[in-house]
Amino acid sequence: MKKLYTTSKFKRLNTKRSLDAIKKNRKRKNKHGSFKPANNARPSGGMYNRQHYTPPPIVPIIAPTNFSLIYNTEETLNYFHKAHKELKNKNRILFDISGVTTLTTDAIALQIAKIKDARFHLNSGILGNAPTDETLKNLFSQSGFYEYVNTRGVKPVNNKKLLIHEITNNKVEPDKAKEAYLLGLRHTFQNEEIFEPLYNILIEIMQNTNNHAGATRGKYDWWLHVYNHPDSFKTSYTFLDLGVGIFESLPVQSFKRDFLELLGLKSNLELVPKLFAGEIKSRTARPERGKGIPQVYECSQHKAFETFFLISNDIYANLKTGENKIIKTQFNGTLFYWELNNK
Amino acid sequence: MEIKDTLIIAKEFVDNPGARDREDGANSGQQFLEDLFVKRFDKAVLENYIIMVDLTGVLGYPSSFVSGSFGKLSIERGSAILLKHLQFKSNNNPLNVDKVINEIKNPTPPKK
Repeated sequence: MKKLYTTSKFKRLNTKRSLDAIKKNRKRKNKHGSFKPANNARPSGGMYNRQHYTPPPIVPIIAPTNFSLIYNTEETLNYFHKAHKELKNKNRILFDISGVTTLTTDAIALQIAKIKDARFHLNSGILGNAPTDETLKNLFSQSGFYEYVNTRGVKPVNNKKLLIHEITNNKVEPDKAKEAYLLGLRHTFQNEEIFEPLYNILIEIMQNTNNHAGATRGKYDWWLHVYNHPDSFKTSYTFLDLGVGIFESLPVQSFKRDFLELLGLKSNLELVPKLFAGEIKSRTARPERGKGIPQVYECSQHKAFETFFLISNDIYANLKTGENKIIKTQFNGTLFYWELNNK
Repeated sequence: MEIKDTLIIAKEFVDNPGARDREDGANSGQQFLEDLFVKRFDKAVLENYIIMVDLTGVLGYPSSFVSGSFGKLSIERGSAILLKHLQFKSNNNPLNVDKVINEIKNPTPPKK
């Protein structure tokens, strides 16, 4: 032993250092002891012991048997609203779609977008399952859902990557539009001959999201889902963003402020024909804009589009038949769904 | 005046145009105008000839692209000079010619 360690001076200093360390440690522990975890948030350690930690409950959210935003709008939107309510209460949720008997790809696309949206999941846990029905299970698996979530064990194989999104920088992406366009053409028409209405629609709705989904340009992500129906030549497209929605966007809000009373308009329903006709222009928004949605409407009238729907805020619009209606359950965002067919 | 230049958009620019401004994303009308078209147009005006703009082979002409390129130039220079020095053709969709000419004649005004 070094001689230094045996001196009384060293022993005195060492004892003081030890006492200081013990004091410091106690102080730190007491600090942790006074910590109150927010609701169900898990404490980080200290006085808490793992046995006392109760994880937040898992609340199953049961999907409607007809799980389709297009064909069962209210119930499907309610399903997502219920889920969000539980997440806001710091509960974990389980998206239970095991009992669905009808499933359309727009609902799958919306579920993926919701799961990935930070404003929806609020960093709480989301669990999920797949449909029990074998056909729907295959559709669910082929939709590309598993590419976007964590799963236990081996992920179901999906040879075709049909959900196109990734990080888009929230901009108009002509390469992704081309990819989606070609996926539809090759399947539906069995060729790559130019079909302009489809390409124009894709670019214009991306532009719409980029400009109008929120007050800040390019704030919201968009999601594009393409599904080639294996038993027919049909291709389904879903394009959605979880922004403020067309009828809450700045140009429409501004138009409403300026003209709602003047024109005697009472609800968003009466704005739909004006929107499609390009008559909604505002003083505050850029006047060179406003041609996109009318072009989408014009292109949607092509006979190759078997169906064409728009859901945004409290509006459900069928662009093919002109039947538009108010929905009771608000959809915060914009969703276009259409089917390309070669009949 | 004779045609001394041909600009094939699908070959010299892209076959998948984007939206209006550069800040909207890639292949925008503004990019086409500033990086390619305006130089060729200025040369045609200076040397007094016509450019044939070939619209063939492009997947589509979104209105925002047309407005951000031909519409914007028409606002800056006036429609008359554009129509004097430009001719258009499209083998696969002649309606695109009308669309572009219409935008040149009636460009959507920019923000004031």
